[in-house]
Amino acid sequence: MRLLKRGLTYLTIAGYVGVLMFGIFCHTFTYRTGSHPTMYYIVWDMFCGWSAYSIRTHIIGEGISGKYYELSPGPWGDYHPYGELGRRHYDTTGDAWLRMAMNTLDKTEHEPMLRILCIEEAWSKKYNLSDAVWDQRYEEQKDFKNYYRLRKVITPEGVVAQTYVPWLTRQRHLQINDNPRLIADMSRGRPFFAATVGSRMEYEGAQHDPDVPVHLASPVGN
Amino acid sequence: MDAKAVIPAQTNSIRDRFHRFFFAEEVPYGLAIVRMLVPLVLFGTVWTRWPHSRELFSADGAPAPLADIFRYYDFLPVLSGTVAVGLFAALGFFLICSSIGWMTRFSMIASVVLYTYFCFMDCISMATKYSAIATHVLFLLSLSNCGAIWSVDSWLKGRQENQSLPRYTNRELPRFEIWPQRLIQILIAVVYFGAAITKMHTPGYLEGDQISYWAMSRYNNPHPLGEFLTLYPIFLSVMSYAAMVWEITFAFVIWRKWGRIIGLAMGTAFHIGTVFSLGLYIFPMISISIYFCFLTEQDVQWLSARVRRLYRKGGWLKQQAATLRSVVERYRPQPVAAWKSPVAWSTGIVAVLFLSIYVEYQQDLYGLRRAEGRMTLHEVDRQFVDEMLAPEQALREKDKFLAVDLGTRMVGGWITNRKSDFMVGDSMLVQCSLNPPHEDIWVDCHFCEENGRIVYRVGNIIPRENLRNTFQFYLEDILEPGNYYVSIKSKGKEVLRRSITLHPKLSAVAN
Repeated sequence: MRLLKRGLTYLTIAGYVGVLMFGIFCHTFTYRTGSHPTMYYIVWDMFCGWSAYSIRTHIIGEGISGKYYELSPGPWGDYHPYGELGRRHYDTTGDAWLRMAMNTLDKTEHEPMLRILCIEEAWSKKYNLSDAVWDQRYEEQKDFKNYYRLRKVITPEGVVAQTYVPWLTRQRHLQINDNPRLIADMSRGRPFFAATVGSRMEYEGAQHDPDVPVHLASPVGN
Repeated sequence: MDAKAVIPAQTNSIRDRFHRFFFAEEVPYGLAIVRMLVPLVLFGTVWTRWPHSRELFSADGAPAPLADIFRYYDFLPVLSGTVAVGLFAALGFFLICSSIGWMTRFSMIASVVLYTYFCFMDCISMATKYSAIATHVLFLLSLSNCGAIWSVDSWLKGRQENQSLPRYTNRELPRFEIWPQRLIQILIAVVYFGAAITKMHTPGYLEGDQISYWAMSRYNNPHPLGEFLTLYPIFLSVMSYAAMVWEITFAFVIWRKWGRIIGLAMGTAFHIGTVFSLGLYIFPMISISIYFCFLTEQDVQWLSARVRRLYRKGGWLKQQAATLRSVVERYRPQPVAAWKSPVAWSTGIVAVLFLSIYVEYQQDLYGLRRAEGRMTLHEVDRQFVDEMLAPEQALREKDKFLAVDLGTRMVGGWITNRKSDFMVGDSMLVQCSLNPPHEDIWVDCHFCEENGRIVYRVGNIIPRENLRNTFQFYLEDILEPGNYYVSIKSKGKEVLRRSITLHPKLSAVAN
């Protein structure tokens, strides 16, 4: 019995350390890090990177009367998981927007909906600085400017009808496209007939390499 | 004396060192503290989420399963609203029981199962890296004997043992193999090592750009110190290097006395720093709580000797300790049958389940049972919607630029003496910082008189992979002292401007 217990202990130690080492190996060499949900628990990518722009999410529904309604947060209030921002703003992949909207529609009294719109709002993070800090670094007044981008159109039945790349990805594409030589090469390389779907510079399919994990969940470490 | 005690039986071979490392026996002081703190911190996160548990975790809400992101749909069953509410409250109960050490092993196992499940159900607001670390720790604690001391279990057990032992017999604290403690220590080292690898993979980390943008974010709690530090990017860069080096070396130095002290002190300072600079609250609490697993039996003996000395010297302390002891003894339950504690614990679970479900039902999160009927949707201002749905707007030139800084000294690619007063003869550096992403961009830098007349004019292409460009001006003797400004232009538009005052050159005075 004692021997069995000791054997199990050895097995536990070896197994646990082995799993941790496997996680480190996968993380270091970016190998199968997105292959299974449990990889989230052994890949320690705590610093997933921060963009230069603040991003917020608006989920609204368009009624048949032409009026627009807020679908997230629901009328019962918002949940703020890590600070002052509502839950929807931490959904960087947008996978839960549909559920949030349908849940609100399901639990409220409302006119029939025509469509549900998921819109991304972005602005330069430098405008987040407090006035005291801003005044030390800038002579200009804050000239705050928001940019909006439609990300998803959802039918009232809950079918995603249209999807668009995030605002940041769009900016990256625009900047890559801002190259006449590249555009000319691309035009020459494109077949006369549409032989392949999406043979364009702007890639509108999956928004991330399927083998590389998206920056999971919230961009916070809190 | 036993011969074994006289003759050193163990050699310094790898096998013996491995054996000593994992299987030495100690009183689990460190694990007991970790057991008390980690579940308590997690209980705080459960407590704040419970009123929304129906919405966050159940099929009657809007859960965000972690597995969906990995394209493993329906990986775990999504529970109904009532069941999720009850189980989430039960999770809170188990965490509290784990913290106080009541039915510790079962509470720990229940905690780790339920906590993992609920993290899997909401990757937006429940699953983060601190919850992943905490899950590991709960799992390892459930394998350990962390409830053997400083717990309700040991308190109840102590009464029975005291009665069976002869009077004045010193009851020895139980000792166990330390391998679960070692595994938590290894976990911490691996987490830091992994975090360092992430930093190596992240472009712009060592230059401080990433931290700077994080400090400008408002995803976390307020962090005024972080915003202030964006004025000193070289400091952020130095701290980024220090953090990475520390994270790598942690795994190698933590096993020795001074390495352990320095490593843990730096870690504590680092995590407390993230509270003020990045607005993180829970992560530092979890991390610092776990550090107690590095506490050894010798540390506690050393500390208790100090306390005893203080105790002997201080009459007030002695009096307070005696009062406390009498209070503890007064409330210690009478010897109870072994079955009573599990029964009370089970009754507690049932009570928490039913009470939480009842309270949540009464709260009626969605307002479905209100007398006035269901809630109505909030209308959004039409003008705001029109603004959001307007045709795409091109990014303004000024939004592609972060800042322009002037100075005379550069360290690590940053101007370190930002100033607006220069002297004739100075070599002035103008550093222009851009926000990513930006295209290959031509930037004009004009040095102008106050009235707008251009004195010097330079320009440069800043490739898309660069976030900074530094222009240099030699402020020649021919320049009149006075007011000037530097103008940064892109595509013909001024995007940033900095005023400067040019002072005459100080010369040695012949007396």
